[in-house]
Amino acid sequence: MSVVEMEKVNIVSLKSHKDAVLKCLKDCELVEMQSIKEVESETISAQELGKYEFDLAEIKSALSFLEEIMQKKKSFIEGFIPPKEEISEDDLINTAKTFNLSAALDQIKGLETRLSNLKNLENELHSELAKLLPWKKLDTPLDTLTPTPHTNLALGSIKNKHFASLKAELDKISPAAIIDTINTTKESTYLLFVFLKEDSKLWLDTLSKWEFIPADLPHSPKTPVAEISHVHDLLAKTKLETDEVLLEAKNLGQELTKLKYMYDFILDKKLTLETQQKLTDTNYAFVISGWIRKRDLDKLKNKLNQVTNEFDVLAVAPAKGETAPVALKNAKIFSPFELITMIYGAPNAKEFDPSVVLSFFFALFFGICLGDFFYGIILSLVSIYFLKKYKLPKGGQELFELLLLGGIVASVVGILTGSYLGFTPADLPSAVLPIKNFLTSIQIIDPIKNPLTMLVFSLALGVIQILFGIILQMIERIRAKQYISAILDDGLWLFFLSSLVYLIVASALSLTSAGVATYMSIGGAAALVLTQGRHKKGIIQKFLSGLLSLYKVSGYMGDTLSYSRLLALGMSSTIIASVINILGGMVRTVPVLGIVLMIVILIVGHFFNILIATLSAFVHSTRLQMVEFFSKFYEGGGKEFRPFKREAEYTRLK
Amino acid sequence: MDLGLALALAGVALAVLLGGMGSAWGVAIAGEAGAGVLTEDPDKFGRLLVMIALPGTQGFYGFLGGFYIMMKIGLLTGAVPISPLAGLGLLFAALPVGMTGLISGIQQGKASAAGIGLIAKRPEEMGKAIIIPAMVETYAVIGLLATILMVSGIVL
Repeated sequence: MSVVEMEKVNIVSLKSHKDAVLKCLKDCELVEMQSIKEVESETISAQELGKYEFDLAEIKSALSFLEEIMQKKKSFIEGFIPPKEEISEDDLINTAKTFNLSAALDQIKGLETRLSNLKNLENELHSELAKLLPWKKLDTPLDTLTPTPHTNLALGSIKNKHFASLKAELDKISPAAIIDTINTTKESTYLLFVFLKEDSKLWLDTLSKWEFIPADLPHSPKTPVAEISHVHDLLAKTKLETDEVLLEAKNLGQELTKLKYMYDFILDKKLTLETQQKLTDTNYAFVISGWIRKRDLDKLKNKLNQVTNEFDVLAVAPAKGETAPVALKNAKIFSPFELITMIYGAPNAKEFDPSVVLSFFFALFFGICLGDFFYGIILSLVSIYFLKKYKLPKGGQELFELLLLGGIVASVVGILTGSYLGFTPADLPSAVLPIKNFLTSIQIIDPIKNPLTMLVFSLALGVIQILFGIILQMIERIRAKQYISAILDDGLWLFFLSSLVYLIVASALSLTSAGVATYMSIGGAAALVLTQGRHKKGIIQKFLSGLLSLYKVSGYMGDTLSYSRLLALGMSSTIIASVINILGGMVRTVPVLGIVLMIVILIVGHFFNILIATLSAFVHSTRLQMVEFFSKFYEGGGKEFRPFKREAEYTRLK
Repeated sequence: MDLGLALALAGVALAVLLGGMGSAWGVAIAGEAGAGVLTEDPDKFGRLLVMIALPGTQGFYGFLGGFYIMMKIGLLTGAVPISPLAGLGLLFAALPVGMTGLISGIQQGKASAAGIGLIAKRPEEMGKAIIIPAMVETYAVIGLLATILMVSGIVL
């Protein structure tokens, strides 16, 4: 339950050590730097920064071009967890020194341009081909199709349905004209007309009336057939050249890795340059201002000592209104739950870290929602696999640790509710009677047969968490010495709500103490009416506002009902699991293939159900923490502590 | 087959149909938004898939509600006789999960699409983007719950 205590520090050293000190800070990842606002900071050359950004963009585009050529497909998992190559810092720097970036980029860009030119050419040739193909049967060199002194000529196509009408009309105008059908396709007729020049106007008008489309053929001394084969030759050549370029690009595969190194190298340089902006220089010295975890102070001094002894680390008081960034530190078992806190927002300066108090509820709710013994085991195993196999970023690691814990709880819940991959202990054959009896004896409830009991249990969990939330608020106010609101707001509500709960329980079980509970509730309500309006002016306003505050009960009721989702989600994963089993059983009767089909259905079905159930369980358990629980005592809005460190996209230093 | 059974089956059909329709619609809305983002950044596929799948649960809830009624009337194991009134009751009991599934599926799709916009610009805020559409889903869960409680309360 702890927010780490932070200390604001100024680190002072000589300018000559600047690079070394910065590198040291970057490597130890202990300090979050701040720019010192009042002092004019060192102006860094915008030009240099721009150059880095330009280079980064160039490399990125070259990389995406190469990866596309090499058809490097990222697997689904890699989409979430981009693989990073391990490399020692010396290797990285050596590569960066020996690598000729501009030459490589030029080469890749050259290939990219050539490739796109070839693509364009290919498209052009194809459209040329499409124009020529219908005229294949026209056995005349194309450049001989020109007007003579007395005749004009037109080449083109019209729709088949218009052909007859057009021909009739043209016959009327000049029967002597030539109408030659070159080709007929499903839709269009391709025609060659020769007509007298004196008829030209009338002729052309008639043609356009029937939607004649003039052909757009090249002016060439060859016949269409010869022209077509020429285009085919060109296409083949283009293809050959394209293959050549692709091969050349594939041979650049080695550059791919080096380019990635270069990217990270330049990214690092850019980061360092930007950080220098935050420094303050004097003639000979410089000052770094920042935040550090208080307990890391000595560690930082030790680290800096390894670089130089001409430095000083001074703890300074934060400026007025300045709040420290927030870092959380919890015992190993609780640290994954920091993820939930951080998704909502880091605690602000006055609050404590809610990770520990939400951890029990979250794990329990997650377990109830997933609610199956084998699903829990499978989820835990998968999580362990991911934790071992991949080097995950902090958030990812916390996520899988959460799933691991949630899976364990789910398997326990599965035992208690008698859910084993959708089967109940009652489904076991009598051959294993001892196991069957044992499993039945440790099962305490069957939610499908007794949904009401399970519903009451879910709501009871809700009541507990909500009351707990109010208690936490009370503790927080007491710590802040706001005794009056701790007692009058939280205390009274706590009293009123718990007596209401008691009243409900007592009347449901027809206990004799129901009467007492009634008086307690009425007393609580009266106290609330009398106190909740205390900030208002005037006795009437105070009273009305107090009365209105009772309306908050409906809010608490809604919050409690929201926990009914625990039952619904738990049942949904179990019932869908049993449906999958039933479907599997049904196809088993299919001759020959039955057993195979059954296995496929079972594997695919359960896999799918685990995915969906895990997603729902995570989302809804999170929501219950954030909406129903946090709303009682937690605001968030703190700034997360982000220490200065190396940033890289493709590599990880050894 | 008697009238009671037919009415109960109408209930099963409604629950499955309406929930499935809501989900199909919602997933399509989210999917369109997601595909748009993918044109810019195909690497976000995994993250977006989660967002697109979010409105998909209503279909399951509908199916679940329908299945619960099927179990109640013993459709798969050997039908028990159902009075017409009990059948009508089962039909009504199917409505909460069906209707909330239909509407919330569509609306959750819209909220998911908005969340996809959030991920497109700030991928690190995925946690928040998931939580917002989940708010919509609450009401489908409550619909499912009402259906289950109603069905288990009906005396055949």
